[in-house]
Amino acid sequence: MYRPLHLKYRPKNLQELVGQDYIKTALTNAVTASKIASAYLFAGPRGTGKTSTARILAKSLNCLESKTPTINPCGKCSSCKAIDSGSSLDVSEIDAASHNGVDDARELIEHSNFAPAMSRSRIFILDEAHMLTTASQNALLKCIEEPPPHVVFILCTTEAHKVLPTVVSRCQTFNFRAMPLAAIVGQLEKVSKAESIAVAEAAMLAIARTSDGGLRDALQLLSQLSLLNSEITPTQVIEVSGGISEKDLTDLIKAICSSDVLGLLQLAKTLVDSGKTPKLILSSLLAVYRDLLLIKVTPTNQNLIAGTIGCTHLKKLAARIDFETLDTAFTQLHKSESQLRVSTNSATWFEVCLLNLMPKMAVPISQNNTAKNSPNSLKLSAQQNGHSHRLGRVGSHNAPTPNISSKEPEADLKAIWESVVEAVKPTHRGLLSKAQLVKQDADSWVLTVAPNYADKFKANLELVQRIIGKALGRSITVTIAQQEKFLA
Amino acid sequence: MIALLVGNDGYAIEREIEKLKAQTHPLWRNFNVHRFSFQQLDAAVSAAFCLPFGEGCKLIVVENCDFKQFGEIGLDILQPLPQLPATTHLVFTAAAIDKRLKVVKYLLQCGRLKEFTLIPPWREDLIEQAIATQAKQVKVSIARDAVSYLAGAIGNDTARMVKELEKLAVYAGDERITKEIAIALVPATAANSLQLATALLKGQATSAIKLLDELLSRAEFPLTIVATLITQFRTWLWVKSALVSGKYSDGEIVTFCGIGNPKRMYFLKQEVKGVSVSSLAKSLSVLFELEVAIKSGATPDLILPSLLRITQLVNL
Repeated sequence: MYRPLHLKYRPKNLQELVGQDYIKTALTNAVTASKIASAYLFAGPRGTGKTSTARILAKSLNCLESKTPTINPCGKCSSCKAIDSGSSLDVSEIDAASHNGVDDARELIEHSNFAPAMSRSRIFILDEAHMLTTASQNALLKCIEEPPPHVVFILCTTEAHKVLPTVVSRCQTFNFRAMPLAAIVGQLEKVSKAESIAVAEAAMLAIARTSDGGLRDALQLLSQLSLLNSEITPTQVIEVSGGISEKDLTDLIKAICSSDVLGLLQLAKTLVDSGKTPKLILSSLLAVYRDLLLIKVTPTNQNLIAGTIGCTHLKKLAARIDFETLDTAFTQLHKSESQLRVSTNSATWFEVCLLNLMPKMAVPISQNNTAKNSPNSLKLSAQQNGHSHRLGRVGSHNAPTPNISSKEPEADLKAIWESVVEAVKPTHRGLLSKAQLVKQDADSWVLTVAPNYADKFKANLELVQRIIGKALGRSITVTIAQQEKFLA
Repeated sequence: MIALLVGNDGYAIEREIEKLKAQTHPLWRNFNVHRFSFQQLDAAVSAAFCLPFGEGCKLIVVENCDFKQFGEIGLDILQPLPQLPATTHLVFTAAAIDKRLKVVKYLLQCGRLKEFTLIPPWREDLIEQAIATQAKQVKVSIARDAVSYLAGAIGNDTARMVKELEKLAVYAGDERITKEIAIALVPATAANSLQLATALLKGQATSAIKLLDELLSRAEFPLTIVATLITQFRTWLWVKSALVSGKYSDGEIVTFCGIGNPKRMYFLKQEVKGVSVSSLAKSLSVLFELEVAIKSGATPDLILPSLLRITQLVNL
């Protein structure tokens, strides 16, 4: 009879448990020293071996081949077989997701008082324990804390935060971790050798990546792929797991980076035509952007890459884009994902979204300048000096040069003023933001003010001078001009 | 023997009762150990005055007493207490005690008071001491750095402390428990989230990424991580803006920022030294957006980019 690989290669004793070394040792020691706690809580992500460990522990405690709990359950005695088939009288594996009420809890408590029928202890495995209602968890409290001596509770959960803290504190907690890539690849290697499935090295890595640290998912994918009856390649892995191939994704990103509108649209069309939904493409792109951000920030962290594109390709792509573009693109993608979900015309939305990802070409100059200016007054005054030199030279020729001052200095003045406003105390900010800097010499500045504020500024001229002087770190004279005059 | 076990450390009280229970004769235990709620005071007292059944001594526990509710009647019921048989332990447990009450004064005359208060979470030295003592009691040898790691990971939860030490003892057998073992078996998720916040504040992207990966691979709930980050950044923002305004003394800042431990102010000051108010405010808004996104069903994948954005903000 054919059995799926993840069931066939389920660990049979604690030694075969993959990836959880500390838990393995702790439980082995507990069994050998027969220091079994009355309640265990196994918490961790899916596919990391919680239920398997619970079953192994049950077998170890109850195996009939030896007189005491053993770390090597035989797997042949009636107790072990019954546990495997789920028909054991003493080991009840309860799916807490469907038996979550108070009545179920009360029934369980009643049952716990009976002596074991054929073996040493009664074991209750509560799978998905986080689905128990609060009331039923409370009902179990007393029983979990002081169960009859022959009873062991094993609670398994993927979401430990949903189990009441009062329950958690009564259990010995073991936190299973998501399996590292290497452990999954190792296990895949072992299984594929035993089953004589031909798998390329890179394909195993791809399988491990798509499985998110869950061994069950990885083995399931392997057994699915083994039906192809040829050597498994990374491309096949991506195809079967419903992803988008590395090449397509790189092409997409390249087209986006180089703002190649036509190429991008064509690529998108071919992808959609080949049966990939826009949602899938977007989420794969999202994963790639996440990886790109990661590579951009820390080029050395290779083992955290989640997408399908390999590290070397990513590095090449990342070199072409800066962080801000990546970040805005990422936000854009994330927003579009939800838009796509609700819209009826998803193809158009998808194209719009892709086009939006292209880096913006035109960046206004003034914006650039303000970004560079920090409110740090030291930097500011240094820059000021530079400007005043230039302006001073212009002034010495005694000719107002409209050509030069047409665009850039104006923007500069604006930037300087903004940074001054930024640097003063918040209480003065409101007042100063009403004014504008229009002319600047070495030690005298001309400000324009809207007519309704002009009186206020003129009355407080000294104060304004002092405020600005403080922000710059040197004293200056300020002249106030009304706005209309200058406009006229 | 009359005892008053008072305090908010329920687990420690429970253990004390357990000790008294062990003094009763094992075969007759079911007949001789009784628990009553404080409304059943008269029943408890009359049970206490009955001689033990069979051999050994007797234990009567009156749980969760609210001494104010006892009143005059309670005092009357308790009058014969000095004649309590020597074989009987009468135990009152309570979360708090008011020594001005008549009943309490009377009870303190007849019996002894034992207090079990939880250690305040910031007194790490006391927590370490408690862990070391407990380790000695269960006869495990434990390294000094492991103790301080455990203190950070467990906090002042006595029940958890005992369970974790039991687990470590089983793991180590006769060997010494090192810090590595402690880290592997006792995850410090809250402490890790705080470390993550510190890494973000310093703009250390690499360590932030590693910490986040560690947290997620332990199936830590994304919202919990984000909530911790928000609380931490919010405190920093408050402290920093209060410091920048320069109008308040440390004491005032502590009160209006709601910082439980006044001594933390010193560390907070050190932490916020290098960051600006605006970058803290922006980071906080990024975190709030992240929280909303997660609450409306975004995957945990979204956390990383937001955190990277914060490291960029802080580094500006």
